[in-house]
Amino acid sequence: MHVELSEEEQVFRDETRRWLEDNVPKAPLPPRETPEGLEKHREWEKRLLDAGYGAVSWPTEFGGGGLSHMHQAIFDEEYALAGAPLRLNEFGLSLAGPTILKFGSLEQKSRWVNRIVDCSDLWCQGFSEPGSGSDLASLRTRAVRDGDSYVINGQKIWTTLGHNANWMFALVRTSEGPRPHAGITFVMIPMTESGVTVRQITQLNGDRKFCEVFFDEVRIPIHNRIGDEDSGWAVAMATLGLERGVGTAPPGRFTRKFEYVLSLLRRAPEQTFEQGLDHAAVGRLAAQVVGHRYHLARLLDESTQQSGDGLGPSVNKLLYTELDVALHEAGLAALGQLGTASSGPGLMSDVAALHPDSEWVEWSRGYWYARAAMIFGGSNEIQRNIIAERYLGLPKEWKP
Amino acid sequence: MRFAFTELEIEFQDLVRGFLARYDAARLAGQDRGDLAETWSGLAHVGLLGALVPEQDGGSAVGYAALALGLDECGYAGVAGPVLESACIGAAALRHAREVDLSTPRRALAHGTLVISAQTHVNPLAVDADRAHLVVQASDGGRVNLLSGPLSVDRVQPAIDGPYRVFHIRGGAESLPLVDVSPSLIDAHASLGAAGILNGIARRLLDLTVQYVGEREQFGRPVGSFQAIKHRLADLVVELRRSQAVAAYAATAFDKELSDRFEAASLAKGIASAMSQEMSKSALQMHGAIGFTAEYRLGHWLKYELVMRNAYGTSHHHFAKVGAKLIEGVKRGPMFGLS
Repeated sequence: MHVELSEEEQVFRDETRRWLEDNVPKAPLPPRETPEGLEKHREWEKRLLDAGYGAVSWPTEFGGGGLSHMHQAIFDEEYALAGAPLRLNEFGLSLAGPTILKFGSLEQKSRWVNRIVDCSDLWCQGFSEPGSGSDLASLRTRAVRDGDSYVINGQKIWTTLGHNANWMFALVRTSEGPRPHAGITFVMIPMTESGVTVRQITQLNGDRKFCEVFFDEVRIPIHNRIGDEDSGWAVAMATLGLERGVGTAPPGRFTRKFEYVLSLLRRAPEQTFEQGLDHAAVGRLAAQVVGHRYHLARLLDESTQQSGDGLGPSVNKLLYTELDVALHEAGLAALGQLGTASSGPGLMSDVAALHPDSEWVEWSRGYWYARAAMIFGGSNEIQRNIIAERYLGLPKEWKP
Repeated sequence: MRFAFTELEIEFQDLVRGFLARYDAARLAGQDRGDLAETWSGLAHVGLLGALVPEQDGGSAVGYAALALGLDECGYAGVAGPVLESACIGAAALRHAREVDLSTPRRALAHGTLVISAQTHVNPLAVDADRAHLVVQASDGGRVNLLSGPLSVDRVQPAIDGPYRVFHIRGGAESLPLVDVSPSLIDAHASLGAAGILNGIARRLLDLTVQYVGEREQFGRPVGSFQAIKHRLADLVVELRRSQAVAAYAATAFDKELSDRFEAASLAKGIASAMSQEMSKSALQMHGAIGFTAEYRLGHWLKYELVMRNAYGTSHHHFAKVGAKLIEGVKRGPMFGLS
């Protein structure tokens, strides 16, 4: 098998690793959805940008680093392994930008892409609606043409970091017809426009990352459209492919969590084995981590070679979301009752001495987020439909 | 991060697949599989038996990643018997023994005139030993011996007829200690090869099942249109691909002589066994009653899977072995590319 990185790629990896070692904040930043977290993350993004790591593989004329997808993957992996902060413009970098670069006009690229890289604009994703989750094509937020404008009415929901964003890429209905997919258009909506209302939703883990967004007679120019009118579905599917694909879940993230589980086991092996987290369970997790890593590595190769059967993103989404849940389950089992506690006042001093880091406090929060990931990005059940119908060629479900 | 099969490896897989397309496992199922000679010379001709034999000894020397793909094809075709024992375990023993000159048997293996069986402490019965010229014997006392003929063996009657014939080894005319070969090297090769075979068996079970549920109609439509069937099959696709990825990594670890290659082989076997067990359960369940007949060919792979699942160490055995090492942190340096 070819597994080597080129000499130049190795140099890039080593430089990146060193830079991250020297620069990644030692203490975790406050969450992005809080005002102080937003500020801290902006400062961090500025440092990344100054070091040339804003958007490694995007073209230089739009503010990117002009390097290959392999470099991007190397960067993502090192970034995850270093435990660096979540990217502030996560949806701009992973979804909006690549979609604009692939489907946008030159004017649109010049207008939006640079401003994603330097975080002048923060983006959010407007796909799901209260009545349209897995059945995304049934969406009802309407855009009615009025001269050179669309007038938008409706509601989006589960919009991650919607309250931070000043732009949304969204799917809207531009025509009704027997085939709901054929009446959808991909548009860019300024969140600052009058008639846009954003409300944060408190999640079961206490986070307030997800939002609902209301549109009341919101007017946007037609040149905010990506692709043709009523042709937004194909653009959206490409975007979702990115969401399930290579860039979203670098293996290093799970490597890091797995190693943390190992460290918990080493600290208090007897307690953890009493909890039933035995050697075989650890070996099984290792196999899952390795399996995800090398499946993704194959996928990365296929996506740069334009080969493969196109199934990779769906398989990847199932692999990494279920791995993430399994890792959190193992971590919480290793922590036992402690997994529900925070490191704040009242914690027994012997426990605090055993766990001098505070990483474990994030595990119950992270567990619930991992559960959310099985639902978003096209639920895991939808991925199973895709695999069964498009890859195995099984017949569509019978509709009465 | 770059992880792709080379052109040579893909060509090799095509060659093996091309030869095995003519192999009719179903015809041979339940019998003693007739004469091994034809299969053996074909597998030698395509370079499978000599995959780990150096070129100067007449081997194809295509390496571990190619061999894993080739064994996967053997599992798919339903070739049971001493392919894994000869091409992987036996070849490794012949290759790593340095104190004695074993170039003659290496040459014979690559040419398809030598059959090797194996016996390890987790697998005390030897496959197809009546046809074997050599048996690799790995004891738990830390020794590896090479038994050579004439071998004295007893056929162990199987509980049910199946594709797998096992023997109790009473002894051989000669027993040559291979001092340079460790039992863990033998175990690791058995695990790596068995993972390849299991991935192929599982792929065949999946293909047969997908074909069947697409044709079989109940309630006026193909049963494969029901989501209960689709989702179960989709999950198995995911598990199969993950198992293939781990096997590819493990094979690569051997090709590149990485320090974690034995543990990687254990993970490959552990995950392949766990996956194939689920594949077997679903395959028979989704076929319904027809899958339970001796006449229908599914049974060949079902029975083969059951044997290979537990041969050379169960899923639990391998996961526990690797888990213990990881927790103890006994291995220096990165494991599985984990920092």
